Amino acid sequence: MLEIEVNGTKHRLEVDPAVPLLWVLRDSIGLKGTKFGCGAGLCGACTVHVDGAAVRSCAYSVGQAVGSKITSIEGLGESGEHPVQAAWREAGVPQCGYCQPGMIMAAAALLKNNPSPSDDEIAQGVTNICRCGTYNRIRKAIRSAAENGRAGR
Amino acid sequence: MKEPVLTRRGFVTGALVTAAGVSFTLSLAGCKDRTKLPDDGEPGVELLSWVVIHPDNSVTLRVPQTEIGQGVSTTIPQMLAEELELDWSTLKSEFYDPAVNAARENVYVWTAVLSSHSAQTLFEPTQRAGAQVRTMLIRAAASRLKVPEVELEAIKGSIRHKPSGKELSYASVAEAAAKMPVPDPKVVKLKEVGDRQLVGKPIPRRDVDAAIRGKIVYGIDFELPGMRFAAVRQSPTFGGKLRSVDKGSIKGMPGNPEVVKIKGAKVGYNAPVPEGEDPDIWAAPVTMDDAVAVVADSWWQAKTALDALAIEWDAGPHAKFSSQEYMKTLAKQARGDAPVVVEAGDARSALAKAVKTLSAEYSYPYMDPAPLEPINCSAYVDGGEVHLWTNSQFPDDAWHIAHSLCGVSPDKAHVHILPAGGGFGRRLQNDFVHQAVQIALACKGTPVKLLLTREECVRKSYYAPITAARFEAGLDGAGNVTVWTCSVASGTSAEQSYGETRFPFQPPNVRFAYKRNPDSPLPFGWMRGVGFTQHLWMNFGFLDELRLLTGRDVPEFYRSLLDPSYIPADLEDREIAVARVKNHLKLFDFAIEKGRWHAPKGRGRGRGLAVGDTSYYPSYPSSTKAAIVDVSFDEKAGLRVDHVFLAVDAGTVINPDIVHAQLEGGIAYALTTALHSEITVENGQVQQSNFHDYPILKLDQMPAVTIEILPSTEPPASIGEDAVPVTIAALVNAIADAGGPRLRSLPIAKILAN
Repeated sequence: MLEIEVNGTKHRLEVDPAVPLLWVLRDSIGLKGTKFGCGAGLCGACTVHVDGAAVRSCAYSVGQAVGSKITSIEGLGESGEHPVQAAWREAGVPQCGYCQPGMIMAAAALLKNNPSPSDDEIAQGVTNICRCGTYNRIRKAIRSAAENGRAGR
Repeated sequence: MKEPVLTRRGFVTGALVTAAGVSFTLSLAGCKDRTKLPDDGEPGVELLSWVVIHPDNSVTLRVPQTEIGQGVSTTIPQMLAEELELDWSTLKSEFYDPAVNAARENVYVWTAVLSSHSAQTLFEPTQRAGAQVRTMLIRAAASRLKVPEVELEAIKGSIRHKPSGKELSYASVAEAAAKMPVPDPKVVKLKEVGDRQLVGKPIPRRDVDAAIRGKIVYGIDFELPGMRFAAVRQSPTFGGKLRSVDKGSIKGMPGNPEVVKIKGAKVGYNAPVPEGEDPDIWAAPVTMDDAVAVVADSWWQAKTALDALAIEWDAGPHAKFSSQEYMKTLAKQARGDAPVVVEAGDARSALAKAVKTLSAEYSYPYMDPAPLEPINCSAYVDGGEVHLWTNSQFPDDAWHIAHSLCGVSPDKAHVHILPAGGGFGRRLQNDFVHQAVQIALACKGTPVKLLLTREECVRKSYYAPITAARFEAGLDGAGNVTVWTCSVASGTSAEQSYGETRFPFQPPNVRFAYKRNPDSPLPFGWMRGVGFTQHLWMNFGFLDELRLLTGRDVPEFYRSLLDPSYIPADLEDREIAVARVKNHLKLFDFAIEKGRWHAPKGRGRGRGLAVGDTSYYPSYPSSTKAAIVDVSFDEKAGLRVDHVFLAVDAGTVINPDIVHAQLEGGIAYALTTALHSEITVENGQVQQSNFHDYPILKLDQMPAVTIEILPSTEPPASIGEDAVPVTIAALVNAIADAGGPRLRSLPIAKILAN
């Protein structure tokens, strides 16, 4: 039995601590917004925040997350009101949309640490894969979220 | 007139209506208590298969294709709602039902997500269907109000009587409308172009909000109570057989794992094939190898048990297959006597007479389309019925597999389409459907979800075919191209899309030869851009090599080859072929101007240009596009793609924002293809496994993009795949222009690193 806190709610779970956090979020707790893409921390579709930092949850065991505050896309802005989500909506970023929860989580973490990132810092800070190739709109949305000065809150 | 049929969605279908507002909860014989299948229906009156009007006056529109990111959940409702006069903010959509499509003789016209056929094929039928339904609603209102039809107009879900201002909601007349005779689609009046409210507008995608909140339910996210989960390992070699599996090796592991053997099979073909046509021309056979599934209470438990499972494989006849060796064989065949498929003029004597000749060999590796959502499919078999929840790009085929494999009558197979996290051609091969149904048959009464690891997706995909090409061409004393020959050999492929060299330019003497080599054990699969992705950059690469011999200027040299007078007089559809060349010229000039071809370049910068269409034969519809790519190249700093300009003539544009998005995405796809993608095989096994050794372009490599759409009122043409071939073609010449190497094989990043 272990306990984790996700989006402000505590969950007591009968689960092996070695199970990747991704599968606990998706299958034990039912938060399907966090996506599986590679299982090796390479694509970032599974990005969540652990104590505010972006973490690739497919390569991060649930045991490591005990005692931390975990935020998934569902907890970032439930109705999509987070400034990064608003910028994403405004820029019309998604195509298939599959990578976007992870992208948004990565961008939100980046902006929290660095409210005015340069283009280089955006490129270094967001290394997730979008197979549809929405990168230019992602860049634009991050710039716009930063310019609006709302993202760091 | 058709009999009314109560579908699983609870809609009353056909032109007759018994009771609108009837509610129908899906229930299945033999279904265990723990498995309650979702009732995906809402009461309503169905009109002409495309439209359902609900009692609250909301309207559901049917989308006859899977959403894989191309935007059909927005563009197809835009086309339908334009003529139907709906309130855009309240409309709903749902994916079509393949069983209904079959029962109604392909009423949805084109349902496979293939060959960029959404707007171009469905624009006309959806407009006409929308106008037919509108006409039926107006007629019903005229009869109700006892006024002439001309005094009525349809506005945002209501019929308004112009003289009195009286309004009737669509819902209030829907039942009566369904009883009206169906108007002839050919005579219904469509809107004037200038009166359109939705078509041509950059309306935000209907799924944006769900996407950014993580609320889209993709195939991988679908779940039912009592569901079990399957992890799958397929024969590591192509054509290998399962020898034995030791079930004892996972006994007692968590999640109650059970082993299911999946038999290798011929699944079908990977595209719809018109009756009487040769399937090997239009498509390619889909085969799958033996596999083992472990089914457990959670997918992680299934995967963990599968990793521990002792499996023995018989490596089969291709245990020694090497893609490197195979490429040598193909190159030899391209050099030899590949069968001639197109000949104009007399290439042989023109080569003999040429003042200068040039030859070169090009090649293209195997590739995996690699959509980001791993391959998955949910299935449930019980009580003589089968249900599938899938994001296949070919749902009609999935439905066929489901009922034939389960041996149930076709109306007992239900396919529920879910959105996909990308497709790019991979999901046209329904191996995963076949596997999921086999597993569900072994676990009757329990819904199961199959999900592959990324490693399994990369190692057992359906691959763009490995290809070798040899070019030889000749010039006269003035630097004119007098003869062009190209001989291609490739692994298994669909011949129509890969067999001929695709090239818009037309020197006076031409010979194309093609050999389809049957010895590739890797199954062929569609990949965004198909054969054009391979051929266009090879052609433009060699063309540029030839141009450098002449010292001529790029646009002037290319323009001289876009000469319709070279098109053979006896060519079938010659007029269309001439029109194509003229379209190329028009777009070419548009691109040179808008793309600032003549703007100065900095030191170490290079610029490349390509123009093309994606037409298999003169009458095959296609957009025309041109790319101008700017790169920086330096021996030490390497390559940087700075800017990609794309001009496109795609006819009527349904949604300019979605067209832009598709083209931006196509550029990224092209850059991944050109810079990074290569699948190699040694000892019969794919050597790549995940994104560390099969990399995808990331944000730091994405260039600035400029897109220009040529205004047009012609019918819509292709968009989804169109950016890929021209971008790669312009890229390889930009690299050479910047002082980089002449690239005759891919992937570029690997070549530059060596």
